[in-house]
Amino acid sequence: MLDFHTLKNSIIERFPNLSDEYFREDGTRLWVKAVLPQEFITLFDFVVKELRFDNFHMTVGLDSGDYFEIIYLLSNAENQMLNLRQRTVSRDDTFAASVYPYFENALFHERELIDLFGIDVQGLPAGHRYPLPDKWPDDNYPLRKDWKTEFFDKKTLTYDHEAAAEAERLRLEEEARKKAAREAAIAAAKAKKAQQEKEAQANE
Amino acid sequence: MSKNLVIPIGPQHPSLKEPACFTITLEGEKVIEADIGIGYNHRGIEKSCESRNYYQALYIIERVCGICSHSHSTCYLSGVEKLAGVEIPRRAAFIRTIFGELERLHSHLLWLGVAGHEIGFDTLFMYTWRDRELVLDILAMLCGNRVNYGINTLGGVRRDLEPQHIDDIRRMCAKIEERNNYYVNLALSDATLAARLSGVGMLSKEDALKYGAVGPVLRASGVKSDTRRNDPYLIYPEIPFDVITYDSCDVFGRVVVRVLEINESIKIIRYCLDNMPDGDIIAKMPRKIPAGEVVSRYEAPRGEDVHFIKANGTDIPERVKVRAPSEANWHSMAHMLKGDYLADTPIIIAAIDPCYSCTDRAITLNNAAGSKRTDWEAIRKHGIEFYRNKGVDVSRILLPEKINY
Repeated sequence: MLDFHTLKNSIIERFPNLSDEYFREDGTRLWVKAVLPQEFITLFDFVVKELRFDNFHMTVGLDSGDYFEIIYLLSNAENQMLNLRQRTVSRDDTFAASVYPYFENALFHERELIDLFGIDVQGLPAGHRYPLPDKWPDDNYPLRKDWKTEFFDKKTLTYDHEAAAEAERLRLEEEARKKAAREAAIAAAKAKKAQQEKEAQANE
Repeated sequence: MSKNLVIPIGPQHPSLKEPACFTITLEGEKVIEADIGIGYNHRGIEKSCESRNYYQALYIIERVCGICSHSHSTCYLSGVEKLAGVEIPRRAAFIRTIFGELERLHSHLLWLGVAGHEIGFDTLFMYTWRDRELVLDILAMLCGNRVNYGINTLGGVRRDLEPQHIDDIRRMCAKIEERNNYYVNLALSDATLAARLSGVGMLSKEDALKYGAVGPVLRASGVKSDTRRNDPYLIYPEIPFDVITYDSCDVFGRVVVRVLEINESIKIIRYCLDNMPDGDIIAKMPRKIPAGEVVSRYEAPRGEDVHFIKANGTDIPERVKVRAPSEANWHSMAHMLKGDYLADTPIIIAAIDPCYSCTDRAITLNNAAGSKRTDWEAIRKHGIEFYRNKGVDVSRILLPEKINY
């Protein structure tokens, strides 16, 4: 059984730009921070072929605001888990490399990333989409954080962008108003405290 | 000149119990290509969890599957509890384990019946489903529900086990064990069953690992892998039980593994009943879960269940991802179908035990004044009356005496 320290060092030796802070240990799981697609695929190759993490569990897509992340859960024969991450360049440039050449069972997981997150996973064989229906409209990616179920009409399969934008504007306004109110309250409290101190000094 | 024939099976098909589309390409009677189309049942559970708090998400997660509902909720909860840094009371861990194994019992008995039905052995189907009722009655007694038990909650379990429950569970275990020994004997000695299932749906050890098969499918290919041993949770580290494997790599092996696992489950339930500590059944949980990420694994009746949970410090999860065991087995199934006969397709599909939706049955808990309760006698009377009005008299048909098993 490899200990995580040796494992970490062997990865860092091969990929010098991954420093110690890229890793996080959690019991029998080792988490690695996200890297960009080009570097990811060489890291993945190294981990699967040389470190023998050859049991693939699943992928998890994450909407991290400015970009998307994909977590790959792998384990080895000793049941240690290594969780690698790939990230896209930005929210618009969503290219990601496929791990289908290594694990055929990643097919449905990666198709899911395409359908539900709109991540452009390259390297999958031709075939039908999964899991959304064929007539699902383009540019509607349900698991993105800015896609809200309440603005999608299930009957006509249309997304009400105007209502969504309006709701977002109202939400931001409300947030700004609350923030301003909070700041005003803090300022008032400070002023009151200063006043009290002044009065206390005057009394002395 | 031969021409290949393409047969679509599903998404709506008399022999399929759930919507999935298998496109089978045939050369003569042999399957040369199998394509699987799934996703007809996608309900957006992960998205709906992102807008609900951890308690509400628990009830949605429990409904991922009708049969392994306890597996999903326990897997989700062990993740959330780990993020919150809460350790559940020991008694609660025992109760969760008992429910997990009762679930495995009824799930395996259900599968055995389905497998029997698919190969035209309907007697086995009737027998095992009759026995499954014993387990479901125990579950209904313990928590009020036959499926979707609602026993789990954040920090522990919602209901305690009473001493009289323990006696009932022991009696049920003895009965199921006696019945199951008959099925074990049947599986290992019946010539017809062996002839029908041997060599069908072959999946070699290498292929099982390559395609990421899980659960009884993987173990029937000779791989000793069980999450209860590999990545133990609850009280499994201390429970003595065997991981059943069989190396025939075919559907026959999957039958043997499952019937033998029923006996192991009974062993585990007995261990839990013998060693159950006293004490609390629930620990206090914070409403807001600290930010973090966690992966939890659980051995469901169909194989390894994996949940990923990301918390953001509020009372609503940032992301919940579920990988149900059937999802991991689709790929190996497509491989198993190739090279076999078309007539073997139903049993090969059934052999991975794809998750069928199991409907709940209403049971009357309180017969308050005014509520109407219909028993079998009244239904039979109504039936006789109904046909008499149509001019047919069925009242002379004698019913067999009620059998108490």
